[in-house]
Amino acid sequence: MAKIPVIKAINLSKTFKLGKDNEIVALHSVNFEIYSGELICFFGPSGCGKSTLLSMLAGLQPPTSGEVIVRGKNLAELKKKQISEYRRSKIGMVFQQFNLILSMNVLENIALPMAFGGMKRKRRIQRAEHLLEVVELSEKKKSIPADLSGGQQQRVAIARSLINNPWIIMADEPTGNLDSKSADDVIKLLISLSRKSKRTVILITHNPEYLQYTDRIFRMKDGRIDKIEVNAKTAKVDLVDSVAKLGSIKEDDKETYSFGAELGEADINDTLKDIRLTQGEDAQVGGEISNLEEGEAGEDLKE
Amino acid sequence: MKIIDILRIAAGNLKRNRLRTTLTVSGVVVGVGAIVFLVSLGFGLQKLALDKIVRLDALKVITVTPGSKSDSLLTPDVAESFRKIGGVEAVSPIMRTLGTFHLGNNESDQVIYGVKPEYLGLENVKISAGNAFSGKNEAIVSKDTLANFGITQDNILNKELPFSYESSKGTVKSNLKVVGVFDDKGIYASFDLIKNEGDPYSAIRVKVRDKTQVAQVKKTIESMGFNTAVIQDQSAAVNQVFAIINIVLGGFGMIAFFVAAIGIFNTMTISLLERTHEIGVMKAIGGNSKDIAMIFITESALIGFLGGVFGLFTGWFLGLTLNLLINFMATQSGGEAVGLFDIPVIFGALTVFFSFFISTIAGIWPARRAAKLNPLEALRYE
Ligand SMILES: Nc1ncnc2c1ncn2[C@@H]1O[C@H](COP(=O)(O)OP(=O)(O)OP(=O)(O)O)[C@@H](O)[C@H]1O
Ligand SMILES: [Mg+2]
Repeated sequence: MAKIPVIKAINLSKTFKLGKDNEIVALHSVNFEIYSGELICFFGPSGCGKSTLLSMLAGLQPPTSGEVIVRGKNLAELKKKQISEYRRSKIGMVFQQFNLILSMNVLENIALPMAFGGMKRKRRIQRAEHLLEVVELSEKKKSIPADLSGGQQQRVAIARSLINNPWIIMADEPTGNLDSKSADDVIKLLISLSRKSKRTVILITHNPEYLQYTDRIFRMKDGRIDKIEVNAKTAKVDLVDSVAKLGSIKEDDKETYSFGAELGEADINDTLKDIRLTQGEDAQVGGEISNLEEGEAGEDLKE
Repeated sequence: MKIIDILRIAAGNLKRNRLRTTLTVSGVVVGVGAIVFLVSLGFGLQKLALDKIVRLDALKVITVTPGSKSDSLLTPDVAESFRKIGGVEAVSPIMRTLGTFHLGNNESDQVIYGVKPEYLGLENVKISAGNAFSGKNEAIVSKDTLANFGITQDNILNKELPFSYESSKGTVKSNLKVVGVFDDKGIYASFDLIKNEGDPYSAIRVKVRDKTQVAQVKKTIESMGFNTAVIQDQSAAVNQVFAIINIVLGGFGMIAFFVAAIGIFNTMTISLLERTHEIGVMKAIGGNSKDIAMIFITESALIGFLGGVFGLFTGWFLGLTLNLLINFMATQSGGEAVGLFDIPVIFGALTVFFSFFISTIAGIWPARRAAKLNPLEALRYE
């Protein structure tokens, strides 16, 4: 069975015009495919174009040229309303600055994308409360963001990104503003999302320690993907094969990683249990989780 | 997004900045309050004028006098035939005669109208002392006439006045018992006192059931060969004058309201700048432009609605207080208590709607700017 990518970039380029003869080419014709359930990391020096790339995948800005294909659908063909729909329920964004709405409490923040989707309040709150359990912040549900620590705020933001059961979680330096303990909690959460709930996660980080937990690393430099490294231990075998066909894998990239001391296998498994709970619940509530399965690949973005 | 959720978010945003919301709403309250206060004064004076100038009942009365032909005399049979005309409610004959009153050594000639008791109600005669008459020899005398006679009110009530008048049967001498004093002019005496069996009536008042029937009944009576007279309906002219007065008064209030609308615009624009980052977040997590615009418009509409309701209340309350004060002073100095302020329900409802409507318009531009914000740039905005 041929694998269909969840998200695919074709000759994706972005040029910023700053003046008449002054342009910055932030991305040079980038190509890649990302498959369901993968945990991908964009890694590279500051200014190499990671955020620019991610924002185009998220439909937050259009490319100068090239295409973003999500489950067979070209983002450029979506109407304004469909783009909102895409950002709301097909992807979940996690930002470095958390970006919670300061005037709303934790529950309202988490439920907000569902409110934008016109869902009933009762259902929203139910689901938000469940996700709060997953990120272990149930006791804070009535707090406002200002009363939470950075790590807590980021966990709320992750819960928010999950509220509509998106296909892809996109996180741009989610640990950039956190102390190392909170950062580890957040990364652990993202890893577990990828591992058992087969949610596709795209992560941008500056911390090389986290690379070992990812399936593939897209090393970027000067607006290009320099090379793609596959983590042989975590990545799926068939995936390694299909990526190998792209010809961007070197033999020594297939080295295996071991988990670091702070972030042990046991910890990950703990979190995984929680996520599995989420999944069971999802199946009962709306059955939307099936969207994530491969059989659904290529499904229309329009509802 | 559901309307209830838009309302919830908008209300939350207004609550978040309590002081600013209060100040902006206060501006609207002043504007709407000024409009309501001034225009309700206009309406109140209009009502007062209409009440004074044209008593509604008087407009329903046709006065019939004998025609030019010798056979067109106002006999009891004629009065009876008037009563049978469609739309006629009451018919009341009037006997007019010149009475000579003997007061000690002086004589004084006064016009006496002989009328039936119900006529007094028909003419809206206001008794200021004593009672209306009911018996045969009774009469009521106006203050004016008393002044002419040089008699005080207390000296005349329930006393008899000797007088004489000329009838077709010669000079008649009689006494008239004064039972009441009224505000206007002249003397009304019981019809039976001066009816002169067989003489035609001087005039007949015909009252119709509805103002709109006056013209038709008048025509019918004229076709029978009698002369008619009606009070000109001045209410249209009065209404026209007050329409202009109300527009001028409302215009003054409108200036205050206009300033308040600018206040709303200002508040919403500042709010837009403050919330730029938040709008970026909302767009990034899937809020569409229409919902974001609706949140803004709802906020300004809420300000307008609240301001409208409280403004209406304030304007009404101010008018009420001032009216009480004026009436207190008026009654202290022997005047009459009057309603100077009047807020027709439709005017009150329109004012609140107007405030709501203009505020909504004031929010459109900020809302559209919010909707158009580029999410990435907005996210970068701190
Ligand atoms: N809106 C913009 N206008 C002009 N130049 C831009 C804009 N956005 C990004 N750039 C430029 O594009 C290049 C890539 O920027 P980008 O933010 O994607 O880098 P990055 O890899 O995310 O860096 P960092 O790790 O520091 O976040 C940079 O040279 C940046 O200056
Ligand atoms: Mg960046």
